[in-house]
Amino acid sequence: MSHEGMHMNDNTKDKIHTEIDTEITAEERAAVQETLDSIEPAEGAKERMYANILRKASAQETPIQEAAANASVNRKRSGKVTLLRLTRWALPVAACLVLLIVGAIKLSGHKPSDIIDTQGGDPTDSAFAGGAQQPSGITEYGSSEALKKATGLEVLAPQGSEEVLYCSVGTDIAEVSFTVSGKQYTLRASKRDDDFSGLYGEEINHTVADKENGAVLTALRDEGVTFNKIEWKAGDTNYVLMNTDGAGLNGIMAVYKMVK
Amino acid sequence: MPDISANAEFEAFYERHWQYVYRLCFSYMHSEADAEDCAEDVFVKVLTGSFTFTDETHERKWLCVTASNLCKDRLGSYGRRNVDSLDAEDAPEVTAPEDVEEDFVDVREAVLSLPPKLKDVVWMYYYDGYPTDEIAAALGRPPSTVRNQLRDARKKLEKTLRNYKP
Repeated sequence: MSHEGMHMNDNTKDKIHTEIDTEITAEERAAVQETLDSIEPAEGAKERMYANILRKASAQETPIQEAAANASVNRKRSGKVTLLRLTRWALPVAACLVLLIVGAIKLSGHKPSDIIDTQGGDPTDSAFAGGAQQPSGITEYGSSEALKKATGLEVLAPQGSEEVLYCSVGTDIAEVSFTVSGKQYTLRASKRDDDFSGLYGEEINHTVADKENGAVLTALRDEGVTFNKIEWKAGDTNYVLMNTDGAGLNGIMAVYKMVK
Repeated sequence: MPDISANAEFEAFYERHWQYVYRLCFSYMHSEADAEDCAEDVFVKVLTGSFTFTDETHERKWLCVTASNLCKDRLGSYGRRNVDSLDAEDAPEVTAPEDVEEDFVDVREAVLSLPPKLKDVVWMYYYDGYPTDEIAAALGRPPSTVRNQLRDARKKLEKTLRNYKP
């Protein structure tokens, strides 16, 4: 292209560009304004957001706490590879055991409700252990209070969730599973520092999901299926929230915000 | 200039702009929870930084640029994870109130479906009414780029806008 040609091209471009201001009509502008104005915040959003802003700002002003939270995240990451290797073979074995036990219970005529401790009994208590605690170490409870009494750990299903089921895994993991918008989630709590999620698979990505809380989102893949978990720590308790039926990042993040 | 990080000033600042920032964030994130989270983080920046604004227009421009960048960062980081990407299938549906006209819903969906890279110019031009040169200065882009982006956005909105009568 000649030098003159380039100049002509630039001039033409400038002419075209300046026309954009006159191309867009007041009506078009009003239509877009109206649609954007129609975005209504949820009820109570103003107060909720304000409270969160103050909380987040306050957290940022305590760098020592933040450093501690980051250190916690780093510690958890460093132990993950070994544990994932372990869980690759240990968890399928555990899952098979659970299936065998559930099958055996069904065949012997017991209903699942038979093994729920609706009185909030202690699984270490001999009277309770009589039929409620399964050999696999998974014990179901009728409420979060009962589970807390047994394990000292509190996990709560978010408000509005369905199919809520509380159980302990061994003596040091509290678990609640529930569904939100038709997707199944599991929340576990433990004072253990290792990976007690029970998920295994190839770790394909992980990222900070909530800097303030030191929460890390990890994506895992196993046999072509991708699932997500979010891990964080509050006080001396580690938490992990998991989804394995395709809730997506938005889904698990939304539930994380409800349970964190 | 008043110190925005002071409590009383911040409260007034929040009162003036919270809905604007929320709407802007929602237009990117398409989710109430994510929009609230991003909007909160924008205000946290104000509260923990030491900003002075010359007037309300200056505030709005800063908020628009900051909120847009923050939302784009979030969306970008989701995409980089290479799993469950925020494509059309995974993104939560944008639902309009039930009692609105179909044309209005079309416009709303068209605006909210604009690519993130075009949304900031659309907000500043269509919603805030800034001239393209001011938008270019605020976003640190050449004016010609802003005009091209507006032209692209308009092409995407053209059909629905033509059918819509406010």
